[in-house]
Amino acid sequence: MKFWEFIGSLDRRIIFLIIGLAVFIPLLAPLKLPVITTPTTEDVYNAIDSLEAGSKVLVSFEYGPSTQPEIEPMAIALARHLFRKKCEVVGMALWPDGQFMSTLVFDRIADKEFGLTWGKEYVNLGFRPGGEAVIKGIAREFRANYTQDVRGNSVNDLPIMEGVYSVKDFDFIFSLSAGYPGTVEWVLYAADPYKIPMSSGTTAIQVNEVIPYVKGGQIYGILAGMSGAAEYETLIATPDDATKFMDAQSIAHLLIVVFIVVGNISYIVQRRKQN
Amino acid sequence: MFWKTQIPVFIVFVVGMLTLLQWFIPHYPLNQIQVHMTQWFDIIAVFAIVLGGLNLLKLQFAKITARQKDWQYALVTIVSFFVMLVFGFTRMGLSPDDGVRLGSHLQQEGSNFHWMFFNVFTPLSSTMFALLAFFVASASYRAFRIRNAEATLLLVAGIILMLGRVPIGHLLTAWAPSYLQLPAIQEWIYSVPNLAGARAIMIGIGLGMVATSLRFILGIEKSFLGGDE
Repeated sequence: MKFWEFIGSLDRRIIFLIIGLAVFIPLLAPLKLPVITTPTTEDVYNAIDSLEAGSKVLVSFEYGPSTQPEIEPMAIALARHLFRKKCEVVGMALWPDGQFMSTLVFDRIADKEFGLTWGKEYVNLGFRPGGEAVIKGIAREFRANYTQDVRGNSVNDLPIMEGVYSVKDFDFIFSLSAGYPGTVEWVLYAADPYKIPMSSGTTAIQVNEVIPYVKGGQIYGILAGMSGAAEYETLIATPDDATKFMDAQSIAHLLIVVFIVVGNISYIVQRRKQN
Repeated sequence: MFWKTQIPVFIVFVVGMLTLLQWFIPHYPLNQIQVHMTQWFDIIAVFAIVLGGLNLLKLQFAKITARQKDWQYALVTIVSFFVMLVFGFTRMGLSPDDGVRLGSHLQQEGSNFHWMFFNVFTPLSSTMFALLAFFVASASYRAFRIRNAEATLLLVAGIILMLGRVPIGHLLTAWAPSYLQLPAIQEWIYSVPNLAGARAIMIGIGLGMVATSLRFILGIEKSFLGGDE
């Protein structure tokens, strides 16, 4: 009985230490657990894979440093897939720090990995304040809201923006979202009213909010958190950070379940004793 | 009364009605309203940033002058605010002849703003978020109890979702028929009971928004005027 009392009143610092080790050790010594793909991730992959070369894709970055570890792996995998398909990618941000996140992804993938030309094969238009008002604005007049890219070049001088006067001129929208404004606003104000194909990658906690639009057919699939990113890396056959991080997440989740079970056994034992 | 109440309520009524009507009459000139109003919104949002900044300074200065509890943090906030403001509006850190324009310098490696963003803001922000993992673990150990049937249901669904979303969940039930494996069960929970609940909440929110919007447009709800109105 004393054992269960001890377990029930375990110091939180011990729990912190165990969780820290459970995350840290698999990062140093990966277990290489197999990643199994789910239908929602496969839907995203199929939607992107069916795009023709030269398709114009608008990618919106709605996340910041706090959710970077969860969303950036899917942004990297998505960028690889899009550039392999020879799509023309236009980046923008509805979050101020999303502009920095997009720059990291474009620098690493478009510039260094694929050696693509700025303004011709990809461009980053950066952040505009206003949230859903920006989406509504570019749905009507793109160039009234975005006059230049993040490097200060006029949008009118960019070859990639030829023929783009509203969001309707894009073949696909992809929202990398960690909250508001994000995927839901893109569905409400652009994808659904103008029937533009769209897909999304979100934090795991946001999936609940977005899944009705996925199941309703307004979004093609969803990359759900780190596991969604790992599945996408598997589908494009380029395992990267998310696949590595899944080992740590697997062990951490298992450990939390063990904590819950042990905590409940202790609770039941103590309650019986009291009765 | 007239300037403080009736005029603002009248403006809200006119703007609200025009915005509403454009969805039902999508022709000129009503279809142009959205274009202009979204730009007005952008302009107002920019001024709101200035107001927000001034409000932040007012509150933090008050904290310092009154020597309230933890007033030192207020001092850090004010210093950080002005440091980032200066770095944002100047090209500090870059040489004068590198050709980087003001504005573009925020993204330019070497500028002080860029350095502060990636070396101070990013690690601090990530650290705050990462701490959640430890608190979730500790909280789940202490608070996730099977006190009644509803709590048990929530607990079982939570465990299935946590394990079903990660590779180890697949390994743990790889021996079972495919429809009984954890990833399949978590997919069902997401797609059926969760979806039904989420849709019900969304419809409820939608109806609530319609009711609240009508109250604003018709002048029944006046809380936006501030004070005791």
